[in-house]
Amino acid sequence: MAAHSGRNWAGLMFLCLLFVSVAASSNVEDQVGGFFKSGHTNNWAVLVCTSRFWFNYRHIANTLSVYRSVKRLGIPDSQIILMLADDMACNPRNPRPATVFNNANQHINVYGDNVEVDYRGYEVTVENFIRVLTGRLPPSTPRSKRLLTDDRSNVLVYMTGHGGEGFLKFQDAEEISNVELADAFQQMWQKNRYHEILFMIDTCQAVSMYHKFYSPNVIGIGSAQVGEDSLSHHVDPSIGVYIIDRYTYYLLEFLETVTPDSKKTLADLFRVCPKRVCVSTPGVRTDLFTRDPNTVLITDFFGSVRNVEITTETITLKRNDTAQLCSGSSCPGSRRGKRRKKLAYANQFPVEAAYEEEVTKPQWHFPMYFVAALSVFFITVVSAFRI
Amino acid sequence: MSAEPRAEQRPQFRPVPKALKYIFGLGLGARAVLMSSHLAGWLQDRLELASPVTSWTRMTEGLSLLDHGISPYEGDMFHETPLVLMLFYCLSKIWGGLIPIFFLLVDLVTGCLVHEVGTNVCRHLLEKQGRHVKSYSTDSLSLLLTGKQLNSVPRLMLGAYLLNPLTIASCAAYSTTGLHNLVIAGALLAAVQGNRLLATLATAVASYQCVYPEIFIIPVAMYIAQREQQVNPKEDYVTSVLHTLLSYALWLSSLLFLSFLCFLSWDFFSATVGFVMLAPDLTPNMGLFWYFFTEMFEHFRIFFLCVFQLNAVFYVIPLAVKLRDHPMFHLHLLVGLTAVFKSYPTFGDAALFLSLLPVWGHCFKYMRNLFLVVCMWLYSIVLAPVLWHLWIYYGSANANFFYAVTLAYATAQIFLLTDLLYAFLRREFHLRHGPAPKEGQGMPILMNLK
Repeated sequence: MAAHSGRNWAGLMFLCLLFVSVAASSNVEDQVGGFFKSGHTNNWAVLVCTSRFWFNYRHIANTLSVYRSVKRLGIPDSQIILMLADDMACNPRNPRPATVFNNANQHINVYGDNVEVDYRGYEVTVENFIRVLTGRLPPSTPRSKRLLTDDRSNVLVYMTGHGGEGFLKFQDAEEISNVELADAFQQMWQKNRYHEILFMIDTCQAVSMYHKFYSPNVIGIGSAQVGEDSLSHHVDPSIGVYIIDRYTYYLLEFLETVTPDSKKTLADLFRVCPKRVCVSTPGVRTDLFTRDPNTVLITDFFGSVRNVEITTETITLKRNDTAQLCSGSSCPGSRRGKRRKKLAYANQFPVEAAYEEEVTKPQWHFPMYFVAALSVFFITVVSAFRI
Repeated sequence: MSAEPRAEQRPQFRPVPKALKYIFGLGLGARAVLMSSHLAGWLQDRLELASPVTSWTRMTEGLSLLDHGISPYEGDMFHETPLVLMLFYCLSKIWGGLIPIFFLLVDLVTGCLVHEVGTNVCRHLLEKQGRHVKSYSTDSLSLLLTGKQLNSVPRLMLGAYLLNPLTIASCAAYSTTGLHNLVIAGALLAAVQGNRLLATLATAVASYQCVYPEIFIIPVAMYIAQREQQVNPKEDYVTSVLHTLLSYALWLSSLLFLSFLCFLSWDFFSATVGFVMLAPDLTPNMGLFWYFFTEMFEHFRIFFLCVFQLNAVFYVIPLAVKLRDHPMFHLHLLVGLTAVFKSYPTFGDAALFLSLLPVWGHCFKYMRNLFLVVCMWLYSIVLAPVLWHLWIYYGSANANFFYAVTLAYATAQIFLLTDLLYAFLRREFHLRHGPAPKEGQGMPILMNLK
């Protein structure tokens, strides 16, 4: 896709540097094999908060926490569908406008500086959610509101709100049932709209929502068993509402420790929020998933992988950026054994300083010719008075 | 500009300056009180007082864009003329508190200009009467104008402008309609004084500021030509008119050139004249355009735009034919016509026409729909904000309710205009044929305006 063309080259160069550094020491395929075990080439996220009203602040905070993590780990806004049923940051009852905190001590502002909400307010409906998943949107829908996944996309679907046994409530007016959700995922499978789905849900009786899934390559994680309520973590006394749910609070705490090159697996994710801290028992469903969750990286779903191309030729990159082809042992040995500088992922969140207001605002000054012309005009008028 | 020096020249005008002081004090005091109250912010956004062209909110937007070095005409926000923008930019840079003082001053000066228009037009009417009195019937002595009758007219006009709640609210809303009224009143005064250069300059400024006064040049040209013919009977009518048109064109082009020099681009033209002519903004207002154009197919938009705009300017031609001997009345009627049919009218535009009515007070006894007009006017002014609130905030009304009030408002103004025209023409008829003319068989004649 167009969004990946720049990343193509970055990934290509990165990988080729890696290639060259280990070319002499070990078999390239063994080293490289680990990169291609997942089978997906792009990552998408659909994050849905289904409740509105001020007292459901915590659901917005839940969704924004996951949004923040997902963005930090590399998924771009163009591949995140964020659906928020209400606006807490700009709510008049918010004593700290333009912020949504997950913690009474205001540790993390999950609203951030550049949140991009795709479906807002009353646009968050069951119909829109299903249309987004299945791709059956009217032709006039803009790209930012479409889930443009293909058969190599890993999709993270996170939902939060008020739920019950077999349903999830949308906006106090309607609900989506687990059957509908399962059918939506099956439609996606039939249209090759995903490679793997990680479905996370943080509501009361959450696991009932994934009981009816029947499509392959889907993992479900729920925050509470049937008959249990998913509880909120703590109340912020200055606002007066519960500001985060337990499961997502510990999930965020866990995800904050994950970096783009982290090797943590889904098995670690399943262990987030055990019963002693969550009070409810989280549930997991992996029978539809073909890979072993112990080998699946967290970044396969929460981060964004670079698109790669395998080349059989080893390319040495010179300082002035002209590439010279060599193969195998004929490559210059200057790079062997030399400790390469550790490569790191770029910070996904923009630097705060870039957004600082310019200290000196450009003033507009009267141009000289205008003043001159104006005075000529006035002189003419005055002489007309005299005539 | 006061009435005192004139009093020495014309014994029939008795000076009553005390009343003027009261009017000024009360009018400006009411404006100042309203400006400093908490209602001022609410008034600024009222669509009846502030159109997309005259709104103060948009003016502040334009000024802040200018502060950031961006031309205000780049977006769709700002539609005032560049010279006015420059003026407010200077004022805001000198001191922010100058803005309310400026608006008070604008209304004060407009009031003075309206007062002067009153004295000059009354003098012109008396002169004209003096010239034509020989052609009048002997029975119509009672219909003739006297100086005593016209003595109170300037005061009434001043009071009608300054004490009109529409202009008070318009001033407190910081709407540039006050500025528009100022230039139109200036155009009226310069026209009646008959100096070609000054009249064409004032008309050019008025038509530069609000696009529709371009049609004022026709009665102004006719009036100047007639005056020149009175002074020198050999003067050619057509060349006089052409001279007037030429000087008008020169003044207007120099104003446009000055505006071009502000930003060295013609962007302002499409944002001011283009905006008024093409009426792209269909936010509900007190005009007739928006409702029609919201439900129109794009295919027909240009056609109906032409029809509507033609309707706004076309009446100058038949009125010029019918009222060729009465260019001042023609001019005043045009002020009222443009206030109804312009693309984005506000209450302030109509208020100016209302303040011109006292000078034609001698026609009032022949007006037939006065009660209806007054009732419709009051109804529409009171109900417009009410039905807007019901529509937008409660959701229990809809656009039709509000547009009905807008239509009633326009109808009230149109009835007033046609009734005034009828009364004027009827009075002229009675002047020539006596107050109760009889047919050949002695039956009283029924008067109808066809």
